[in-house]
Amino acid sequence: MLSDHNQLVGGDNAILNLYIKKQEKQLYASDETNKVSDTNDITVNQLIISCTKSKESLSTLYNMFKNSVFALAFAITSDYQLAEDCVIETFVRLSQVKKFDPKRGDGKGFIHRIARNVALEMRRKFKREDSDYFIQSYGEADKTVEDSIFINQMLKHLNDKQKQTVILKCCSEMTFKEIAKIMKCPESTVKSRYKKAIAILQEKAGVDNE
Amino acid sequence: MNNDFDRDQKIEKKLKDKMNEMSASLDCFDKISSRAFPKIEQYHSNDEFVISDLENITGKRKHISVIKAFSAIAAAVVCITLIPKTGLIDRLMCEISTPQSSYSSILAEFKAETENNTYYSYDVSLEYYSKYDLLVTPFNCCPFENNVLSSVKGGSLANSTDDVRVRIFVKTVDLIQTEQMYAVEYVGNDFSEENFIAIADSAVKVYDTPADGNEFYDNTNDIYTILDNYCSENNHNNLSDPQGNAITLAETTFSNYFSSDNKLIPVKTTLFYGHGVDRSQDDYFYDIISYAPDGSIFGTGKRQNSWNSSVYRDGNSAMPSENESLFNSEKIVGAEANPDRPSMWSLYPVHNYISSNTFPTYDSITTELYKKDVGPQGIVSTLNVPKFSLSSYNDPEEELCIILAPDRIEDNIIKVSSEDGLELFVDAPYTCTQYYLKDYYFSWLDDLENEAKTGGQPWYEEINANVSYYIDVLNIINNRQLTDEERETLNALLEKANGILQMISEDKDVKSDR
Repeated sequence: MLSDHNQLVGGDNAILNLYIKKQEKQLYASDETNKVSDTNDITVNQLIISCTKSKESLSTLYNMFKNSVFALAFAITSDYQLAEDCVIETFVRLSQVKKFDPKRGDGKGFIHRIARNVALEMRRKFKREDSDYFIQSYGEADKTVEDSIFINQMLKHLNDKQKQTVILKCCSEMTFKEIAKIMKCPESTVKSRYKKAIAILQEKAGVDNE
Repeated sequence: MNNDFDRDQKIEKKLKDKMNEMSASLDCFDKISSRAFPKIEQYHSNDEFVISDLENITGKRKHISVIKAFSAIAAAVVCITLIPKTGLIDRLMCEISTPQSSYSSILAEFKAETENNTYYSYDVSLEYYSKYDLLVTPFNCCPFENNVLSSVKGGSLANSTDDVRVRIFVKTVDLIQTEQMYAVEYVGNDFSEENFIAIADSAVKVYDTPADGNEFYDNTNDIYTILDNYCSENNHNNLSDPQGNAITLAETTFSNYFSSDNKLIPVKTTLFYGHGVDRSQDDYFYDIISYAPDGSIFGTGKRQNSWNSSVYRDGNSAMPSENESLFNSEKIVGAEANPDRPSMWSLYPVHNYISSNTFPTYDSITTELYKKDVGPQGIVSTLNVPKFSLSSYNDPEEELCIILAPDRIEDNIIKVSSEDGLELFVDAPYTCTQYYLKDYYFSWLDDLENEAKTGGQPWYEEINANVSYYIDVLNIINNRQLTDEERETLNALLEKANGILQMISEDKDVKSDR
């Protein structure tokens, strides 16, 4: 994959390779850090199983994942209100899960898969209902409005898959492997997609700053 | 370079901080909690009580005047004999004379059943159900009319058919689905009683226990024989029916309990369904075959509509006057093989990527055989198959395989079902599918790469739209897994494929940027 990339770019391959290797090193290091949190997976799995009957379990899961679920939903819908609805729907659905096999692991990924599906469904529904225009709501508080606009401005340069990858990596702190499972694509694709997305954000941030 | 990395980190941190600031004001657990743990509703809704009900709460027996009763009967007889026989009256009489369970009695039965027994439930839009009922309830047609007027007639507030969904409840015994089921048509996002439009119950009620010593028959080889006889290749190397018409074909096998002689018999059923590519636009077809534990055929051919009744809230029948299903019965089981057909020479045993989650009681194998020509003959542009993205996936529980996932979630033809508990069905009969690779695919990848290098081809579209699969009967039966050597080769090829996809993607981005 990387060699293909090099062929495409051409020119100063040595520098590019060095840069890619450095970045990969950092990315893998960050994956290692995330592995520490794998022990939490067992807890998350148990909470998912018990949340169908226990409000406390659901509440714990909500507090653990509301931010990352919201972030993913907002990245997909670009709309504060829709993202909030997605959070509600995601956790309601989670509370209705009848079959979750903890042996398959990755309760965190499971929650984000639900969130992604819900957000995509909502976006599709919303787009269908208002196909001519797309109203974005930015929350009520001034700060929220400001943040919403900022993030939308930031993410508008990325395509859909890049947005989701960046959010899952940055806000949900997921590993590339976990993201690959959620987005159903190879890990290498996720990595290259992420790198490209960050590069775009860098470039646009530079332009904006100028 | 260090600066670059620091800048990356800054961007990531900034994004995360902003997102966290925004979600900090989020406070919606009360809403979640109220929906996830609703207070136990009273069994009867208020509007079902009448004054006489309330007056009789002491249980005191009511005395009905004989004269009053006689008067009422006499009045009814006079009305029936004297009122002109209009269409409306005929229909009314017909409905009165038809033994039909009332809405409230079915609802009561449904509530009691689902509360006291184990039911497997899933959700589907009415629009989808009425067209693809075969894939929702394989043994039964959709029991509800699919039009706005009928919904309004049922006393609901549905604004359009888009809002109307159906939730299906199938009784399970030891996690195996039985024939007893209920279907509830409702409007809106909340599955609550005030949103119900109509309800249907199956004719079969299951009170039996599984028969001892019976096990599900393994019909794997029977399926392959059926497919071997039915499928062929036409002159353009397309998967085709015995007459040489290009088709797409899928097969799914599942296990059910059927009631027979006060016992539950384990029955293995295989449903074949497909789409005629060059036969007609909406030519969807199916065949179904069920096997008893001893391998004898339990049932085959057309599906039976075994709903007992389907009623709106107001008691009118909700059963559609004609079936809107896209699928027509076709003889796949028992089709005679064409002796002159070309040989088929490659295999992809296919497993449904999500079936184990979507249908916990179904077998995990769902075979979808899509066949399309990518050779020098050109592209069959009219083939109505879902668009796929190509990706590799290494599932520790499975072999290394290729997943053909739907390219776009918005695509009307296909969508991956979610893994959440409700299993929302969506717009298409196809699901994400994974394929094992064989030699032909390898050469195809090489061709693809060459084409990508030479340029001038709509590469990305071509990858998505032109995937070729062949059936190798011998290998289907052997169900052979890849060897280590093949797997290594495959890994290398997957990298290559991903490289091509990446090139294409980047090329596309560059073009769009321009």
